[in-house]
Amino acid sequence: MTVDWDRAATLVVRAQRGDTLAMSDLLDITAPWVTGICMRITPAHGEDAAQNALTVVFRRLGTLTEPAALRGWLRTVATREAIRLGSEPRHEPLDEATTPGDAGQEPELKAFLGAELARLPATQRAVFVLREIEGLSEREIAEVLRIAPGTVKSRLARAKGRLRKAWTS
Amino acid sequence: MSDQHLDPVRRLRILAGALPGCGYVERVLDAPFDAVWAVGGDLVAGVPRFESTVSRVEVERRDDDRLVVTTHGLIGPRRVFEAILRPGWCWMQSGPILVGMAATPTPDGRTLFAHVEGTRFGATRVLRPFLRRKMHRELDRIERLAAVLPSS
Repeated sequence: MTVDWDRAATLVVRAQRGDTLAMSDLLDITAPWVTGICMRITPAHGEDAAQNALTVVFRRLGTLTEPAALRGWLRTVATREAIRLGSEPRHEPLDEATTPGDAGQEPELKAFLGAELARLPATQRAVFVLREIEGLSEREIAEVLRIAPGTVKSRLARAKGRLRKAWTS
Repeated sequence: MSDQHLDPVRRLRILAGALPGCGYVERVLDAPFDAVWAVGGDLVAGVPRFESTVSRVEVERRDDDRLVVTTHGLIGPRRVFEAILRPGWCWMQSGPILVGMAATPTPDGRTLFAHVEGTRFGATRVLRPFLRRKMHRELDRIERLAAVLPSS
């Protein structure tokens, strides 16, 4: 999901001036991206998490002093909400749309990743998604999740170790 | 990676939650989506039949999903709204006045319908109970009209 963040910043400014049509447009272009993040972390509660995260951000849109910061703010709120709702241990099925990887990925690998990611705790899954799909650095992930960089490193290592072990078994 | 969509009702909840001057109602209507939206989404023929304060609606301009419409009231002045209209989604603003509708099919073949009315500002907070009663009556009318109008 590619978002035109320059257009989003323009819409933020219009929305802050009271233009609710701009709010509707801003929701159109950001909701799929936010929902994608939430669904990868908690497929069973991804839509609820996205709705909650977007409600928080849109309610406080007027406090955003730098419109270009919207992307980071949305990602932070969405990730934390998805972890909160997905923190109960469960085996969540990931469908094709929530499986990481591009369209050209081997179907077998895609299915494997989907199934094994679903078995990870939400905290490990979030770190994996932010690093391997969203492309954040370990320092950025630490800031988003409000955890120590060392914790990011260890959760990522555990997630990758678990996937590697499952792949080779 | 395919897009992940939030259905229109979830989107309307988000906008309503961000606008403290708006009242919000939602409920399942006992009619299929096509029949419900043939009423709710028809600003010219549908709206005057379920919105008691509007006698006539005219579309002044239309460009894809962007419209400019004029509403004529039984009392009070005419209003010019800017609107976004597409299947399952309608958002309109005229000065401080806001109106929103959203609909999505339910798994059992009925329709979850949501409705927002109010202002951009918080001044109508005290009017919310009145707005909610008014909107529930409108949902009653939409449900009745959807039961007798042919679906698209």
